[in-house]
Amino acid sequence: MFSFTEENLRLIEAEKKKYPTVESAVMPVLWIAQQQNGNWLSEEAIQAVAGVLDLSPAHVIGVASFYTMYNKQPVGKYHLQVCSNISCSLNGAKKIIHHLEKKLNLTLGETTPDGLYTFSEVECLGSCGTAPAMQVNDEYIENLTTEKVDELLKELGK
Amino acid sequence: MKVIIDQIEHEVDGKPTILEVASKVGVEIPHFCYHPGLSISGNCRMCLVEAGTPKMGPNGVELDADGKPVILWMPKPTTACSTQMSEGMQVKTHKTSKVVEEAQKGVLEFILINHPLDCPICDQAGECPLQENTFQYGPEGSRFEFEKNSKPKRVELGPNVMFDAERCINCTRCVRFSEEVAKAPQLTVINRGDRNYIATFPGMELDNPYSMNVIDICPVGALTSKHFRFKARVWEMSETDSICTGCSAGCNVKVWVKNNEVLRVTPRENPTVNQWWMCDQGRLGFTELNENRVSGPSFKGQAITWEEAAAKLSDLTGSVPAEEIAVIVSPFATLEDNFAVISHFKAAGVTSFVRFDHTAGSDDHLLIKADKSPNQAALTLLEKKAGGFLTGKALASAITSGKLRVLVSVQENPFGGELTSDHRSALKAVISFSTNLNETTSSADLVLPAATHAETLGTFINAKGILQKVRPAKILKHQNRSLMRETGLSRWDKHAWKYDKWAQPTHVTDAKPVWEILSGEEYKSAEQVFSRLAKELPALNSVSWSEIGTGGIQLEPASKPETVKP
Amino acid sequence: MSSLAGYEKVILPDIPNLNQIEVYEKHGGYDGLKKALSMSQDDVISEVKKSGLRGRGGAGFPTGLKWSFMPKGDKIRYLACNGDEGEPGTFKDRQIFEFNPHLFIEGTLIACYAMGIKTAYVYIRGEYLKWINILQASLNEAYAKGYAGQNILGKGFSTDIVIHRGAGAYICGEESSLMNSLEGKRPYPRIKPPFPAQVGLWGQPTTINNIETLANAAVILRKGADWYSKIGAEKHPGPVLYGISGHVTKPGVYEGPTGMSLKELIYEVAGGIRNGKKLKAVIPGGSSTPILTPELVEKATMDADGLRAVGSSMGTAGIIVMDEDTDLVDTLHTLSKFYHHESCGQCTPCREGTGWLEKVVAKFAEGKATRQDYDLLLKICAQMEGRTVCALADAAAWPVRNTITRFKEEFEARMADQDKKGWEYSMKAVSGV
Ligand SMILES: Cc1cc2nc3c(=O)[nH]c(=O)nc-3n(C[C@H](O)[C@H](O)[C@H](O)COP(=O)(O)O)c2cc1C
Ligand code: SF4
Ligand code: FES
Repeated sequence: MFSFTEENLRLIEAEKKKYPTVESAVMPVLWIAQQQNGNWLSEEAIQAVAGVLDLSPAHVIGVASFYTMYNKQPVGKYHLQVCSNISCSLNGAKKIIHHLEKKLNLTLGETTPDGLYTFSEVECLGSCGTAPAMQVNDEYIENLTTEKVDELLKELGK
Repeated sequence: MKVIIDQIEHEVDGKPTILEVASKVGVEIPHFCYHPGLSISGNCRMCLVEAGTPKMGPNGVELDADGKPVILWMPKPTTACSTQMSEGMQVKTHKTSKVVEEAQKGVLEFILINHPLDCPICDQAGECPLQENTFQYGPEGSRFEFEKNSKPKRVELGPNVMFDAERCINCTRCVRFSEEVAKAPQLTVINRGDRNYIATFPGMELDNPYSMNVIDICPVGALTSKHFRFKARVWEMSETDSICTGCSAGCNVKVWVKNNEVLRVTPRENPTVNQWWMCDQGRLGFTELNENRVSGPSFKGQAITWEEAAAKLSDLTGSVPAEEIAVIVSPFATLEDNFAVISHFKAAGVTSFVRFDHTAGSDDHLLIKADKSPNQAALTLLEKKAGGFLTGKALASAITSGKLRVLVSVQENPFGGELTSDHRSALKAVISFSTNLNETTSSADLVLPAATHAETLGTFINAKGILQKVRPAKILKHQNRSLMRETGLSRWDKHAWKYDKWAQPTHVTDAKPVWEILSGEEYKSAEQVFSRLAKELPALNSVSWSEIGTGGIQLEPASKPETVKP
Repeated sequence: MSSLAGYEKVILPDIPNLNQIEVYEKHGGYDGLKKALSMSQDDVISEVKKSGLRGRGGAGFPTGLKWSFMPKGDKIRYLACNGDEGEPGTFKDRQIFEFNPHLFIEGTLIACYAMGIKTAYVYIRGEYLKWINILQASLNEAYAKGYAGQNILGKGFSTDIVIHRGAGAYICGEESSLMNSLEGKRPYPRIKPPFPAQVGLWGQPTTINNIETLANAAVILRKGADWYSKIGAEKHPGPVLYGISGHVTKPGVYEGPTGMSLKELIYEVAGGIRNGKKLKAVIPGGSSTPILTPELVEKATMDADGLRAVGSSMGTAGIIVMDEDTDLVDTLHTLSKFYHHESCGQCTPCREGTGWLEKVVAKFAEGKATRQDYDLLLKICAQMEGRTVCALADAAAWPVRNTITRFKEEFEARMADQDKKGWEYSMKAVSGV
């Protein structure tokens, strides 16, 4: 069962105050829930969000499922999100993706059996000037090369 | 204000949208997501038209060389459902605009690229706006050659509704209905783009009391009725305009019949009664019209003829003084039946008329009424004529004390609740006029089969004091001529011949309307009963049978306080 | 001579630690706000109108005019600051958050004052958590110093600025989708009319401006509309952040006046095409703007008129440069896939059309396409353009239409062999709709 921590309940109250309607707090509260739940939103977590905001669970899942950054499935400790949009592709994003696929023995969207990595392709990250780029969880790693990827994996794998 | 659609001028009031004006003046603009009872979402893009407004110069509307207003056309087609009309606005539909015609074809081609096109096995076929619009406005073929998207199929959204996401065209009518009308936000669209579809929250159901309306408003076969799925093609059924008798709301319905079996009931638009909606309970209450029926009169369990039944009736009611007879009238029967019952027994000297109370719970926000009987208001009109009504409780104690010894029950089931077997033993005779088998018919001496509201013609008065007609949707074994004229006919009823084995009526009951059973030759039709009672009852003095029509009429407000009295 | 000679950078000046409020103040920071507060609200709007500032979010709408649409009176009004920055090839607002957040905050406060707005919401894409944190820190400084919040600078004017984090949806950059997202609804764009200035956030009058637009407003008030309107192209003046990416030697965000020649930006500012390659194509203003051939690049200047003259538009000034080795079919496929992925799914033509376009473009990428497919792409585009609630459908159709017509040979070269025979073959087979 998922229930918000005391601390998060306080944060939620603060979020609610930022908007003229309670419904508007649904995105920030989904963020809080995702963070508390280990970087993904389980059905229970979504229901808890609906509960604290007095919204219908159907509505909340409708909102959550629209956005790509709310994870509807568990993700690994490190979520590698490689941009494959235009500027990154022009600068070799496909090569980075293939390299990662081989290194991690994963196809896009999968998680390693040890739960360390989830590997996803994402749309333009706004790093076109420092392409190719990826995010590891919330952190940007830019100007990627295969060597840089290898180093990163070594670092993270420790 | 004056507006022009396809070069024809119309005078309109208020601030209507293009689509509202068009449907009012009879110009068809195809659409899917728009529904008059819901908010406007403008997402299907089917209703695109070209629109323009008069160019205003310093001296008012600018005129061209021919003296006609110069029109500033919008650069792109606009949605008729969401665009408000203004003075002098001009609109071109597909009838006068190539652009609109192309736009309609384009939208339909797009809708169909991921649509399964499984019309041959789809319940909606025959009453499907997508089918109809494609036929009328769509492209001749498709240039889509890829695999279609696959999405969940046969999803049980709730106890009554089945969902096929591949057929869904994302109009969101069902989502808007649930939120805005049913006030039960159980549905949502999940995901986005062409991956989206509607869903409930996992593990939760679409089970609000109005859930099945989403089936009616779904413009494709994405939402179907679990109870009706695969039972019939819509063109095989007759549809009869009638009203629901599930409670005192009196929702207007269509009763759909195939081979004399009621297969479904759907709401029929009536702005003052039920708009476009009805509750699930009322909709699903039709099985008792087909099953568990009393067919043919019987005496102590033995079948008898109608003539014998008439004789038994006068024997049994003649076996005690009239003061010892109680007659239970019925808020489930027509006004005509009740009038005939009261007239008949009153003439025989009966003074104890009884009516039962059927209230349970409270009125909800939309249609459902606490008073579960559809015609309590008609009984109120007859109260004076009956000399007042006894309650169920008073009846019970009068039987116990031996004051009442013969009981006539008309379309009620006193032994199903109000009375017990002790009361039964205290009674000398029980006579039951009944549509269905129940505790009372099994303990009655004489049972007279009554026609259901789906087999008869007559009037009901709802909680708002609106007088409405039920009409015969299925036939009886010996059908009265006046009923036959009104019975709904399907294509098969008209064209099948006697060796078409699939077109043979089933569920034919040997029953009669109560007024017919009691009046013998006095009345030939419900209409005659009505003319008589309308003369007698002040509230109905000015009402004529024909003006009731299929929409009903609001009785004089003066009669209203009467109708709400318990 | 370089257009940048003598150009004074004002949005992203080379001042270290400008994100710290003391440094910002030292360099004229919040002077614009002080000036605005000493003026009447209408005068502030007039000043912005006079400057000629046009929105930097993509549509290029005159900002002063937009502000003047807001009704007066005591109705609650809102400002939504658009930091969704989702258009591929666009990465400039993030520089403002990182290097000059107070300029944006100041511009926002000025906008709020001019339109009588008490709450501004800053919608920032979810991926930009780092920059959200930077902005929040700067915002806290601004509150602490009395620039934001209650009774700003003792002038009796109060405004709150609230940051709202997105969660991964390009469509939320579209202004009405952004509003629904803020309201906690499914972020479907809304039908217009009514326009946001009448019915916006929570039903109240609302103005939506891009982050860079608001930063420019602060510059205008600090330096004056006269100074501002003399920068860059006459009809589309001011400083602009050019985001140059793709096959250039020095990709990045460069501030310069509007109206610079595209060639200068590519060859001088960004150091030219990498590895001495030749130029094949340029997308001048983010992925939705029509692609340019080298001949058109020669003529193009980076302002509304200059780009209209070459059949494109300024968009977000995100310049994507492609060298001679670029596979344009693949590149177009990347974009079509993007729009398919990002369509909100509300309108039939966009929901279905984006997916269909992607599939047909993929056929070209796989070398299986036919002549009919080429025609079909154009027809699908025509069936999508101008038929939907928002402009995403157009944004999806334009790259296809422009890339396949402006680089037709490249697409013909990718058709399956039997279809290279010519048009007659195809015309017979086309079943017209
Ligand atoms: C699909 C789509 C995506 C958009 N994304 C953005 C965006 O990420 N950032 C932005 O500022 N404007 C975006 N816009 C433009 C906004 O709708 C709006 O015009 C702009 O924010 C107005 O600000 P401005 O007048 O300051 O340019 C987008 C428009 C569309 C149609
Ligand atoms: S055009 Fe596309 S993205 Fe825009 S509202 Fe319609 S479906 Fe959504
Ligand atoms: S009916 Fe107008 S867009 Fe659907």
